[in-house]
Amino acid sequence: MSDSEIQDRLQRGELVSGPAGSAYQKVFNALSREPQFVLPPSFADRVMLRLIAPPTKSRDMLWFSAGLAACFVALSAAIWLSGVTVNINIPHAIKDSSGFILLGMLLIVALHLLDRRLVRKMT
Amino acid sequence: MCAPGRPPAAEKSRSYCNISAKSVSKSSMTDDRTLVSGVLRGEEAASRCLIRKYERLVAHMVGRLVKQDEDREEICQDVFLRVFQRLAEFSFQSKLSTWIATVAYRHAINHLRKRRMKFVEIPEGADNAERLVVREDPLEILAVKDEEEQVLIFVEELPAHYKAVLTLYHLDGMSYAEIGEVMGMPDGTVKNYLFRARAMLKEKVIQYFQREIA
Repeated sequence: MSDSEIQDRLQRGELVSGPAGSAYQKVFNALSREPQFVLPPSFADRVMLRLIAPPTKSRDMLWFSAGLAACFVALSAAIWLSGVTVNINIPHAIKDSSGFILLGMLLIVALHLLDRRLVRKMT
Repeated sequence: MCAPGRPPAAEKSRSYCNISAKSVSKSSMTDDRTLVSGVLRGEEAASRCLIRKYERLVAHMVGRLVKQDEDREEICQDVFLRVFQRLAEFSFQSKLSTWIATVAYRHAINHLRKRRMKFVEIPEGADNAERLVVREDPLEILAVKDEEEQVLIFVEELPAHYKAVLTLYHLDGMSYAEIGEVMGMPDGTVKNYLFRARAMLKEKVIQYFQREIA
């Protein structure tokens, strides 16, 4: 008897003898068994709580943005009041090789992209 | 009727929840229409009842596709939140159970993709059974309580599409057409997946229980 016939017969609730029939019977019995994962009795209440509760994510983002803005204002005020000047000095030795530095940075970025897209995907 | 021992809101939901959770597939469209219109009117009792009526269906799908216990309940909650968000768009072109199963299936698959878990598209071909059958010494496999549990461990090793088809057919009693609608594939493909998944499991069972069956 072919696999297809055995499956059809078991699906109709008939018994099938032989090693294949016995193996299929085990499979059918296991597949009809209720899984161990069951939602808790309070599941509906938890969903309802989330449904009614205000979206905490947007509120958190609001506080985060407000904090960030406050930090920026404080930093600007501190710089303005103290009169600190920021001076970025580039060493003389590499001052004329800005093209090489830019190329180097681009190569590093490209290497990281290749690593993420190709190497990690393959491994 | 809804499960006993619920908060007072559950008492109100009795008028909605007069359908046993196990008879979801047989429930009439009228019951679902009453339920959906109740939810859309903002009735909490209707929402609770909709959750209770379909939580088993969602738990089956999520429980079988997602392995992490800690993620499962949250995903089930997300599925229902999505269902409530989009319920107004549901036009009863299909059964409510089919639509909810679709939401649950997509949610679980997205979770697998995000987690980069084993999510394998199965190409058509005869070699797949060979490829997926794990040839291990039965003595090396962890001891299990009974045969059915061992078969369920084999089910865990199957690709997500196969697990979804098996769950919807064997646990939720859906037809090929309904499963096809949930998973976005033709009936023939559903039938084929079902046949191949069972055939793979049979191979594994024969290998594992070789001594006992022979």
